[in-house]
Amino acid sequence: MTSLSRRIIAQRLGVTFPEGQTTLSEIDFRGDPGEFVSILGPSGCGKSTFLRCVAGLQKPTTGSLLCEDEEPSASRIAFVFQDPNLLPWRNVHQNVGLPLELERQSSEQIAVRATDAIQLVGLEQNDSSKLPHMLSGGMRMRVSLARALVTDPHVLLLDEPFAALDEISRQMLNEELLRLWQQQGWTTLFVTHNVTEAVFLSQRVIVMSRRPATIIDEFTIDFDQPRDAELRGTPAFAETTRRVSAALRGAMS
Amino acid sequence: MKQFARVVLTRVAPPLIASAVFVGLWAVAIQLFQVKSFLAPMPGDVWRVFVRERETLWHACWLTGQAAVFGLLLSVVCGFVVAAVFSQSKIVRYSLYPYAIFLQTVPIVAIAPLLVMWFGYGGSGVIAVAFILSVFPIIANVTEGMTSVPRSLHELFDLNRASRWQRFTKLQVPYSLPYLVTGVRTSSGLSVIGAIVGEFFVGYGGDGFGLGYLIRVTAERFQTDQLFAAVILSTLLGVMIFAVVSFVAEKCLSRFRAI
Amino acid sequence: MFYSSILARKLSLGLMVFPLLLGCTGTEVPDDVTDETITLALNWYPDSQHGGFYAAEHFGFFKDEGLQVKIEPGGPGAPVVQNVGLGRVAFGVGNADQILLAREQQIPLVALMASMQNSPRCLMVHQESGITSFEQLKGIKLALGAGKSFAKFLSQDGVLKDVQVVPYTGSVAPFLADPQFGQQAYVFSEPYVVEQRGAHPVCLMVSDRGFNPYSSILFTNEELLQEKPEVVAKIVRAVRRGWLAYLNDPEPVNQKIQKDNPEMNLEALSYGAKAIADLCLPAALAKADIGTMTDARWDELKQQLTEIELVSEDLSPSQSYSLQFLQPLEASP
Repeated sequence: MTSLSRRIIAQRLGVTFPEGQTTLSEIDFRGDPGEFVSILGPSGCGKSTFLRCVAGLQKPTTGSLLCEDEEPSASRIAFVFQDPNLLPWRNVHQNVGLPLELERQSSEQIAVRATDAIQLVGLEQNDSSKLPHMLSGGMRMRVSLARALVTDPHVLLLDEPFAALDEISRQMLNEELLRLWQQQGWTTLFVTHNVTEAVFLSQRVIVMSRRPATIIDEFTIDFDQPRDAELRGTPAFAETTRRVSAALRGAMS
Repeated sequence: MKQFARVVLTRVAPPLIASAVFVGLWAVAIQLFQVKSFLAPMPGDVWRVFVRERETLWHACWLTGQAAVFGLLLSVVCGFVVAAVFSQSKIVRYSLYPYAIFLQTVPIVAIAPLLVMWFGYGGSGVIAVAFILSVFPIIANVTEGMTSVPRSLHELFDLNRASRWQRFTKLQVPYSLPYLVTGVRTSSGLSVIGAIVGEFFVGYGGDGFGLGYLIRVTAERFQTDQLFAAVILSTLLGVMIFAVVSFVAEKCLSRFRAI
Repeated sequence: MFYSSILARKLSLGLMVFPLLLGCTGTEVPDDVTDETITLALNWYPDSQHGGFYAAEHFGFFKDEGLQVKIEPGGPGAPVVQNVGLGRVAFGVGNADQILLAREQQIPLVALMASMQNSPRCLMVHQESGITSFEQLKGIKLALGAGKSFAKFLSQDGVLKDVQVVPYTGSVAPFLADPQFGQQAYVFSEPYVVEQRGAHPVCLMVSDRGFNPYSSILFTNEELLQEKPEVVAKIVRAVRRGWLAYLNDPEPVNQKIQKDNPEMNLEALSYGAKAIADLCLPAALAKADIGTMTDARWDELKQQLTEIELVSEDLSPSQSYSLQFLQPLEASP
């Protein structure tokens, strides 16, 4: 599975909702191909709105958003929601294969690629026929991730995907996500509240202000790849986390 | 074997016991209040009618049951189609939904002559009445189901650029199935009522004597024990259809629930 | 889910009956027979078949007997038989076959007088159908009320085998819409109504086939008859006088009837009064004998009902009626 990751450029992006609140204001953003960028910010500041603009789910009111110099709709953009958002009447395999089904691929193709995606996220083959209500929260998240990856996307967007999980599951999934990213190399935007997570995963961390949101700070995280669990214990990591937290705290006040 | 015993204990025994208790209380109440037999018969008298008239009763039950089931099936199919149309267009839904409500509220007495004109006397007329009485819960519930798919699931389909048809068949239809089941459960009793009421106005002609006809005749002749037998049978018919529907529903919905 | 709904249905059946149980407290003298108002419940909306009762009220015959009587109009589903049987109402109106059917179910009714000696029951068909007799009944739809005795009689008689029997819903609209449609009727009522709407009805009297129950019978509860025979005697006398007065001069009474039944018009009531005249007072009957009944007629009816399996062989008709108030009427004071 190879992916042709794409660059994202937002220029003076703004979103004002019909009810009147301006959520995003003058966002200038650039994500290079294959880059992993995290977005931090106070609750409700508009980070999800920004992500949804990139996904094409939200039309910007002002400014422009391009994906490799084209409209986002021309690219394959995968989105992982905070809620796994699985269709409860479909089993794991059928859920994962949904995007390909909607693309009208042949059932043989779907079977192969879905199976691969399921394997990729660390699920067992005999989980394939299980229904969502039989799975734990963490497993459902993996299915959601597999579904996102099955289309071999140009861009991967994640909106606080692990927020509902316990700490250990979260850490494990972070490590898995990172490993996959190293393998596949998609341009990845990751929205989170969790500073440790952001620092661990990303090459760059962006901090947004309160609504109307603008980008108030940016950090380059240059720890070596591949990163592993032990990184979290190092002093350098702690220092970076401290600096980023301070910026976030500043954004909150 | 153990599974069977469990089913009997939890599903079959309780209603039977409840019925036995009720029948007992019934007999006691009649004795206690010295109720005249032409007002309310003793359970024993009703039982005797069941034994004595079992062929007539069975035949009537069969006729009425057929009409009810056909009416119900028609409701499910038409109701589903109407709901599908309603779910796709706000304008259509807003303009035509009141007519669906009309089907719910119109007194059959008022439209019986029209029905007889269109369907004639006989089985199809009775099925038409059963249909009219039972279609609205299907329309209402399935429309509700199809239009209350969570935003996030719709967005999933948006992201993957699903066509309208794909969205309908792969998202809205499966999502609305539990709602359909709720609707059919409600409609199962209504279809029996509809068949019986239909028989009042339309009849079957010839020797077609359904439960509705039996109710009318026995009431006319003050034969209260036979009247009660026919009414109880009508209730049981409704319960049976409900039970079958519930059973089928549980099988279909097992994918949705953690049961 | 499954069983709780059965329970719910049982409960609701029980709840439906409970008020009925509260209402019946065994056999007692009807509570409305005191020096206050006595209720006389009609079996249908007031029309000419109730003329004698309204006349008794209008001409003051009840007052002459020292009684206060309230005439209660009936309608479809009015439970006159049950109300009198339970003693809730003192007097009711019905037909002889109903009395025997009620007796078969142990409802203790006693018929007191027969307003109509001969039954007004007929089958009404269109002239266009070409049918002029029962033997010619074929190729039409015939609307008959479910469970009616006369219908079963005709069916057993074999005259209905070539017609399609359909439910009678109380409306003449299907009749008016289709010349190949017939329906049950009372000779003094529906034929006039449909004639006014342009139809040409032909009436086949059921009594011509031999089924001729007394009609518009005044009946009461056995208990009341035993406890207060003098009250019963007075009521019967007043009603009989009422019928003679009505047949003599229906117009003022018809106005009273119309008050209780605004749907009726005076022309229809006039027509009705004329039409029932020979049913109430056939040529052979002396005026003083109005309302009279005979054992032979009751026995015959019982026999007929037994043959069509509506009453059992061992039903004794003599308990269902009383001849004690049917002496020849004295001339009015």
